Amino acid sequence: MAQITHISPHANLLVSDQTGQAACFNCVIEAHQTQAYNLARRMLSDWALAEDAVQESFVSAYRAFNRFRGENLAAWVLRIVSNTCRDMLRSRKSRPTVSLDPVPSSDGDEPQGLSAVDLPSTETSPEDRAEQSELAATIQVCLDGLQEDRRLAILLVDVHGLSYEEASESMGCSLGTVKSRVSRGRGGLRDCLRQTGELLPSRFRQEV
Amino acid sequence: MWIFRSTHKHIAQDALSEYLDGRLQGKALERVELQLADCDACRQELAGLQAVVAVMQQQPMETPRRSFIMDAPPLMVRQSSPGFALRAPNWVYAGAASVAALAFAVTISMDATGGLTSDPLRHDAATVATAPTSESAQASGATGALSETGPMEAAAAEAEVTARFGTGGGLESTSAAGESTADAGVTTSATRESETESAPLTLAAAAPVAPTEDQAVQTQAGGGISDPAAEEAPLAPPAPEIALASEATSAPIVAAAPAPQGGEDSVAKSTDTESKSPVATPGDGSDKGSPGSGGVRTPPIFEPATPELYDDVVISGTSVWWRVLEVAAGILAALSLAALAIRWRTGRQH
Repeated sequence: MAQITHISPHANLLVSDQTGQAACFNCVIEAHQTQAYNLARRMLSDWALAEDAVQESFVSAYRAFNRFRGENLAAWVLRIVSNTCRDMLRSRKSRPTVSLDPVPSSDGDEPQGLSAVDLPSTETSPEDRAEQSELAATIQVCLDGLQEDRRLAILLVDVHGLSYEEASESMGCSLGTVKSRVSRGRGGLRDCLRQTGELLPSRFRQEV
Repeated sequence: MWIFRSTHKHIAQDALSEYLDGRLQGKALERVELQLADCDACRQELAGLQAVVAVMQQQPMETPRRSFIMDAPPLMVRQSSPGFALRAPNWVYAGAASVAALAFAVTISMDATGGLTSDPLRHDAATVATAPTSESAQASGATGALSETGPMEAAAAEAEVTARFGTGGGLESTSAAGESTADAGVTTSATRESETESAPLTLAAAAPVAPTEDQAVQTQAGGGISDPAAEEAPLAPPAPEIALASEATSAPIVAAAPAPQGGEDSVAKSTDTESKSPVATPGDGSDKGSPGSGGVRTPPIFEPATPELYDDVVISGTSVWWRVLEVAAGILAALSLAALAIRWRTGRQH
């Protein structure tokens, strides 16, 4: 709860968890919205859906905050986001849609041709930036090919840095199940990246 | 060496993944390190997994394009807690639904096959309807004793018959308008049999309206329309009531010959009951020699009788209680299934 104790202009939105400890809910949002958004975006492969998922997840978190037992807030938030993404994926299976539109940007100076899976890069070189975008797109394609549970396990453990125990809490499954899903997810992702090795950057081709 | 190679096993992928995350300890860690030192394929696999993990860990976190800070608290949707009745375990609802559905199916099937007929006379009535001639013959024989009892009883019986027929359920009334009290007895007996089929509605209020000898004479004179005795017969006090009963059915009185006085009521009764009679067939023995009928038949009119005219309702056919049981079983089954569905939906939401 240490990350939600700082002063926020939206401190009036107070919530209390199961132990009775009060918290500023907008502080919770500020602390975890980036992780929540990235998890939802990689799970859903759609930035617009990801925004909806995160919004819905925070609303659900606000309503259910009195059931939070005050243990690991990040894992708890990511668990809500995971459940929301699963529901959205299930509903999207019944009405499949593919979002390939370029991401709309707020200012017109930004390039309009970026895909939804493009990620901002800290690299300054245009070649490195293009390579990073290509790798991110390839990884997203391979992630989409994985099973939903394995994809979630890889994202939670490798991208968001959760431990197996925290991932177990977020996914609502046993520790052994998390180990198995992480292992199989990594194997599947490795096989996929090997198959699409032509598209990978030279650095990754050497490693794999 | 050959034996060693044949028995060599690659490290399981789960163990490699755990080794990569530094989660192996003790003997498991030593075993994996020994196998890695000996197995090139295992090392290559480990390198591939390491590369995947490194690439995934290097994936940057994108800042959301908009903030999800809430300006106002979202609406708190009240959790739709199931009511008291829905807090029971699922097997309660499943069992209730099964039992109710079974009861519903049983009662429906029994009803369809006629097993729920509570009135034992229903089959007799059906027999009467199919074989009116034989029943009428039996009725004629049965009324022998009745005719011996005297004209007063016969007249009373006839009055009852006409009253009942006037309300919509009737048999052969033309014989009642005949010249003998025995005929009146015939109609009485036949009426008892036809009650079960014709309608559950009998008017008993008019039964005691003609206990006098005058009524007997009047009834007897009803058959002979131009009989002066009928004309001389004084208007009995209950006669208007009987006529009222006849009018209540709105039956056409066209078949009746015009009888100006006391006989008019009797003729009206006869005509009305004749039109209502479902068993009035040309071959009916009791129909013979009935001048009142005169062979003129009006089409049968089946009108729902006015409820306020009847104070004695006889339920025939399937008992009402069985109907109630059927409906209750169906409703209970539907409610139980609905409760199961609601619990299933709420369980999914939670």
